[in-house]
Amino acid sequence: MYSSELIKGTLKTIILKLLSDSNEMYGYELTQRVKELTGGKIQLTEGALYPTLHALEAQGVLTTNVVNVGNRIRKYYSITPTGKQLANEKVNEYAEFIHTMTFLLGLKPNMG
Amino acid sequence: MYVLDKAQVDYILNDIRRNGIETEELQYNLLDHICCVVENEMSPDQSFEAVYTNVLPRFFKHQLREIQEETNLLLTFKNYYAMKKVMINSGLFSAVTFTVGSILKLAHLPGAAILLILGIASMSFVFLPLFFLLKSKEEKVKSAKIILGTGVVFGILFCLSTLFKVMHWPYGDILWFFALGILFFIFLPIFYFTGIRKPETKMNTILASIMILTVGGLLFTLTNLRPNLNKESALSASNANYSSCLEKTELLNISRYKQQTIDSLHVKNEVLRREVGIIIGTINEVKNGFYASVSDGQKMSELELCERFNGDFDKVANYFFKQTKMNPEEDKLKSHLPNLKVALGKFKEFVGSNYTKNVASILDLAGGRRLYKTGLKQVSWEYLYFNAVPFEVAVRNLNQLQLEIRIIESSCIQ
Repeated sequence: MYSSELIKGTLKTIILKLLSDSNEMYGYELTQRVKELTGGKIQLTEGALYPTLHALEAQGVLTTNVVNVGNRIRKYYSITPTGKQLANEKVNEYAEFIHTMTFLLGLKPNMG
Repeated sequence: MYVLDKAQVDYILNDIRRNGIETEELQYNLLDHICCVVENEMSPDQSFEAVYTNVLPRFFKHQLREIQEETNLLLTFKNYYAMKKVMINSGLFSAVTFTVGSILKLAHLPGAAILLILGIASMSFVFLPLFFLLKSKEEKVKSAKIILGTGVVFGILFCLSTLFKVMHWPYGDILWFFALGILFFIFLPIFYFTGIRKPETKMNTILASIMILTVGGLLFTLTNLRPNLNKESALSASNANYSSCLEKTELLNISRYKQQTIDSLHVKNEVLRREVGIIIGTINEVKNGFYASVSDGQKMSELELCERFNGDFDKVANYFFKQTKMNPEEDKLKSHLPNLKVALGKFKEFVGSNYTKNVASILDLAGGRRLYKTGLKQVSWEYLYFNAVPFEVAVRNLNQLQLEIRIIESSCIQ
């Protein structure tokens, strides 16, 4: 599992990308999807996930849909067109970042 | 998979609320999440309480409230980067406009006023408030927030009072005293007493306090508590000079009138004497009305008036031009400048036709040219001598008028 410091800067990108690839998801589902896709190497903590989801919603990047599930309420998150654009920007920025870091840390010395 | 019943869901919800999660949406988010985890992990042989007690601590490092705090922080700071950008840009803008504005002002070039206003307004109303908002979020201790707050209030008042003073707007002094009051009586004590309590900040606090006190004291010294003493003595000397000259000329004229023996001249001179008397009286009336108006009915000496309206050109202009605050008693003086101008015109005509004397200087009723920021401009006689001039200059001009009339009188009858 990666350190929370590494994950912290990428949380928004992960959430936006997952939501732009699917119709709608709820919080628990998001954590499970990340866990499943990364083989448990990245685990989103609830303490970071929900504040970020709320902030993205306030920003107008995400919209919500509330559904009654048994005895409780479940909030489904889906991405807005602006959010999709932001997701693309974030993913591209991150790709660039990896490219630079690879070079900077000498992981591929013959590159570039 | 186990499904939680209503009582268990309510139990979790209440527990979440008890642990400091205030936002309803966040409560429901966490409730669903915790329920999902519990339902997935609970085996038939386990008790709900045991699983729940085991699951909950995974949601936080120290306490559940952290999630609420983090949410609040992110929501408040959703514009953090935009605010930071605006703050830095407004600060830069202020610094540049203020510096350029000051240089233009020193060089008496146009555009100084607008640059100074823009620079100081952006510093006071954009940069400093944003600085307070962003910095106070970083400060965890309450006293540090108070120090920051009072410091920013001082900064805003200081900037505004400087602007008001430079632009000669009213209430600049009051703002300035408020600023210094906040610095000396609120900011400095809090800063000093909170700082010296901690051994690690004690020395720096003492040094910083001394520097604040010194710089504040220096600024206070620069404050124009009383009008310039040179100005006062200049006014007093000039007044004494005028009255002495006036007195001497009057005495000289009296003796000259007496020396006239030719009857025809005697009659003409008597008319002159009466005309001069009327016009000197009119000017005295204008002078008294002016004193009464600017002193708001209080009895004040010329020096006291000068002190009171130091640099306040508007008071003078108000009396001579706007006439909006006059009481009925003073209202009869409403048209004093036009009246005086007409009387002076008649006097000049009388002297010109009867004594063939040419009168110039302040009695040149055609007005003259005055230097404005945009260059020399032709202005009327009233504007040249009584608009946008300090109190003492308006008084001096009235004195000068009287003296010149006496001198003309003197030259007519010699």
